[in-house]
Amino acid sequence: MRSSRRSRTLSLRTMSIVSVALVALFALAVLLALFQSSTLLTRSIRSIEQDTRGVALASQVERSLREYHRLANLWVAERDPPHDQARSDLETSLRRQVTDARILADGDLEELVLVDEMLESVEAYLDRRRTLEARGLTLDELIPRIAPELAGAIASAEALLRHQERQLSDDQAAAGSFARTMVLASSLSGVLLLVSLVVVLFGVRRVVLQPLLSLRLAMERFEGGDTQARAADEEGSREINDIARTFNSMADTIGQRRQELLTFLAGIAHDLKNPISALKLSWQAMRTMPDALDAEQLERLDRQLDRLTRLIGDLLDAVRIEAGHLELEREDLDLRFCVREMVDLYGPTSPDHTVVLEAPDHPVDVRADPLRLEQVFSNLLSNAIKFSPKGGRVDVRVRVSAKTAEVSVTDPGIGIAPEDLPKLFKPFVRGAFSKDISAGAGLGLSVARRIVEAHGGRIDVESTLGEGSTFRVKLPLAPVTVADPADE
Amino acid sequence: MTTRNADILVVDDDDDLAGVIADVLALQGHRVRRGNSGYEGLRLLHERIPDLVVLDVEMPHLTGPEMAYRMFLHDAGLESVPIVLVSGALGLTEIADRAGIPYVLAKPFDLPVFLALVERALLERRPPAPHHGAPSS
Repeated sequence: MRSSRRSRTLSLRTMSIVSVALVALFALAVLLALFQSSTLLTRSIRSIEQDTRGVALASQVERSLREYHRLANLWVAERDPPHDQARSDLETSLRRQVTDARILADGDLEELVLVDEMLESVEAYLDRRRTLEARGLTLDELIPRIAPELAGAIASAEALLRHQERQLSDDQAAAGSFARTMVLASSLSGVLLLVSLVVVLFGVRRVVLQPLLSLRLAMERFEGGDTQARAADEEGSREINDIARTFNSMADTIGQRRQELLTFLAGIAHDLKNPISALKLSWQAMRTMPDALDAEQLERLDRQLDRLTRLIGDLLDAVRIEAGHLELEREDLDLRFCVREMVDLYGPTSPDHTVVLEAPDHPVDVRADPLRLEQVFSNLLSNAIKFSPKGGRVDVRVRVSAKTAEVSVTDPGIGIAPEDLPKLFKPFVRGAFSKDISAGAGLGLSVARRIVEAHGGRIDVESTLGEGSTFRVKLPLAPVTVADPADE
Repeated sequence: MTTRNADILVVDDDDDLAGVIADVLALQGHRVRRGNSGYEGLRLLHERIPDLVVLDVEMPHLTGPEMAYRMFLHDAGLESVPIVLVSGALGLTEIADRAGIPYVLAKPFDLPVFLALVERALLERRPPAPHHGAPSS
């Protein structure tokens, strides 16, 4: 697994927020750019439109001027009435074109100046012409005299035309360069978009897809029986890492439980073998050597069968409890009597031990299942005796405080090492000290704890290695009912 | 030829089973002593070296193989005492192999099989020959 430790892992939530923000920003930028460029484009088109019209007008004026000159000369030469009409029409349109040019030039100072100059020179020509024609000159006399004014008018028209043409080509160039800029900008943003898409895709692949795949793979392998299968939990986004970590810890727990269960089953099998061996040997001995049969052997047989029965009973209990079905048949009982019964039962079992009971004078009322409590206390007592092999005194104390009844069993035995304490009540863990106790394969204490907890109580243990242990069972006292004043 | 009147030490923390084994061996005519644990076994061994030890594996504080190993280390005749290893433990053959004990029997066992093994051990008297170091419990 590639280990790339990050002090701060990406979270999918952050990533998606950032991506959405970036996309929104990008879209906004694109929209603004489009808007801006359409405005600029519109303006550019309008300018070019105007320039084109300006060019057309200016060249029209020049043409009209020349045409008018020709017609006017024709009229002077032939003094022909049809020419008169055509000439006056042309003059009108000429004036109109100049006026149009003036309107078009509105806003452009330079153009205005040129148009005004053109206006002046055209008027000057027309005036001069009229004056000369009124004197009744012949054509040959007229032409040289009108030449300067004509030249002036044409020159001014041409000046305007050149100006308009320059304007047009400028604007066209501007439009061209703008178009090129647009192309560049859009290709650049296209490339940018592509690059960021690739980056995002790779990012998503590495941070989301691959870790998810690895997780799925680990899950499949685990399901298929590979109990060591785990998912990489540092490679992806924070959320995925969390999922992977949860899976890993779940797998660890399952593996651990399975291991504990297997060990427990092995322990059970092992523990069953001793009583069965004894039974088998006894029975076979009795069959082959019936003369040697004696009371002790029969008693031994009985004991083995009891052991087996108890073992199997405890096993069933443990299974039932682990599956969550512990049913209690509660009664109102005086804890002192229950404990005393057990003390009386176990006291005599060992000649090396004395079991001493200390209980208060008043009743200790609890609401509990007497058979189950028997199981608990018998387990504690037999343990106490078993674990003080050198003999000695086992103290059993019943005490009451506030709302709790406490039964403590203290033995002067070998004690329990601090590292073994947490394992004591675990259902399937055998410690070095849990031999085949009559309550069975390390089951006794875990069953006892479940029973006590089902009653709403708790079991605790204190121990000093080499000196002994004290087990404390705390149970809630039965709620006090209104006492009959006659009882005291 | 059956052996008779051998001095046999039975070491098993299960009192009832040890009792039955002792009885059965006594009925064969042997003298039987019993030990409750590995430590008690060693103590009894030092008192008097038996002809044979019937040894359980899983015992608290000092297991069967650990006791056998100490016998082997100790010399003074202990290392040449044949051992019959009995146990309900899983992997008994591996345990016996590691301890180099040739006489092994898994619990629960049949009486005639057990008696035959004891006979054989008493006749052959092959002591344990551990391969590597102390048993890894």
